[in-house]
Amino acid sequence: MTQTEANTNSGKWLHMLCTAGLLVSFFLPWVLWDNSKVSGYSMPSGEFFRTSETKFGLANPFPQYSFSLYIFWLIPVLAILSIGLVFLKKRTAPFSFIAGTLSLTLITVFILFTNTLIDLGVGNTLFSMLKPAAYIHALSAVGLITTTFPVKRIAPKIIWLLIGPVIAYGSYKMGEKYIMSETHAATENVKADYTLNSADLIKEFVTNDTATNKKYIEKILIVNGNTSVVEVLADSTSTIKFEDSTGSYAIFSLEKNQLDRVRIIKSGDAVSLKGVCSGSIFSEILGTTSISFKRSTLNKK
Amino acid sequence: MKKTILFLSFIAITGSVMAQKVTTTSAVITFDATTPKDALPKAENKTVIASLDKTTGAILFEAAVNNFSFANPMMHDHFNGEKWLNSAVFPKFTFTGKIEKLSEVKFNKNGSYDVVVTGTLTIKGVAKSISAPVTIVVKNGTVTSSTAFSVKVADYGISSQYIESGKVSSEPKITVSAQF
Repeated sequence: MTQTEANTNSGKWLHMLCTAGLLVSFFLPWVLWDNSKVSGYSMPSGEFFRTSETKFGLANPFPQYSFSLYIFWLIPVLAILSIGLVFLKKRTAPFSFIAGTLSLTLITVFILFTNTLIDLGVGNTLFSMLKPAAYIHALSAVGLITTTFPVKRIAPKIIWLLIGPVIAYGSYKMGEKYIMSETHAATENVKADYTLNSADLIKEFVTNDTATNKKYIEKILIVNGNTSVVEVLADSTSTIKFEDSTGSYAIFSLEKNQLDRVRIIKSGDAVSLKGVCSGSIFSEILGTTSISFKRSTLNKK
Repeated sequence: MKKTILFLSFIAITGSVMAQKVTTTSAVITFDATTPKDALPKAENKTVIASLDKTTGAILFEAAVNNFSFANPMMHDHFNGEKWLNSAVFPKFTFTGKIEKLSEVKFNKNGSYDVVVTGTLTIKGVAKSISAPVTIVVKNGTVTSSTAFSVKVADYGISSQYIESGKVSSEPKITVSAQF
């Protein structure tokens, strides 16, 4: 065996090792987020954003493009294909390049997202949250790209090494900017989740506040009833209140653009209000239940 | 006859005492944790419950945490999240305090009075003593009070990299105004 053949063989074995490392580590936990282990495959399976939403309130900002995450299933598929090609003594490019690049893209997203969670107070340092499988996966991806054959030139390998993390970083930062500049949709343009009358709403909260808060909090409600108090505040915003016979009440905070319509409403008038339910508290001051609504608008009079 | 006079006197006294305690459900609290690095973390709540006892000087406030309205949806989620205010477990802020030197305030006379209110502010289940300057304005029987002060979020067990990196103020400014 010549020196060149020996080098080629050891290169192929190294390539196999990296491919196997990539394949196995994809299914092992990469990070630990507040006792939740999240693996590489969690991204295409949807578990990644399910965990981030339920535990940290960070939902996928672009749910309409969720299907694009299935591309990461190519990592194990192409890894298996590359192993087969090595055995068949066929060229592994471009499959190994693609598998390696996708892996580095995914690792970059995990790192960036973990840093976001640290900003939110989840965990202390990136290194304490990353699990060994994440390092194995990153090293395997780098090894896979650099040992891909028959490509011998270094330039394309560097491009394949960098392209994934660069795209992931750019996309992540763009997504972050989008989220930070986002504002609430105008309540009047959003479809209501529930429509009910004020007496029934107050009764429901008074009867079982825990279950009712869970049901209505952050939902958009249309509430119909006769007003008990209409108040215009110093800054031209206003509040409208529905009250039951015990003093428990639902109060809606309305924006300035509603002022002209609010001014003509008197106590006792029948109105329909639409707002985002903030839930209830029991007021020790008043001895009654207070249900509050924000970003409210007059639905119709 | 004596009984009737006694009864009417009782009603009059009770009515007078009751009138000394005034309440509102539309007090306003603003929260401003903005920094030069981030202008987003600020919110207001316009359905705060408050009471003022003109006889004893007792001032009470209750604010639903989830009714603080932010312009940015993510800020609202973070504010209410487990790591910050955890509104699911601690749904309200409360303040229980008293006007110092109450005798200086004439609730039956138009005027503006600068006083100090001292009491206990409870946030996320942690109660801390605070003292703040309050301006009380009496005009034609209506009493308006307003104040501005800062709180150290660390005092209430709240910490975050956002604070350490200067994106969120470690001492947000709070303003409170109520008309009784």
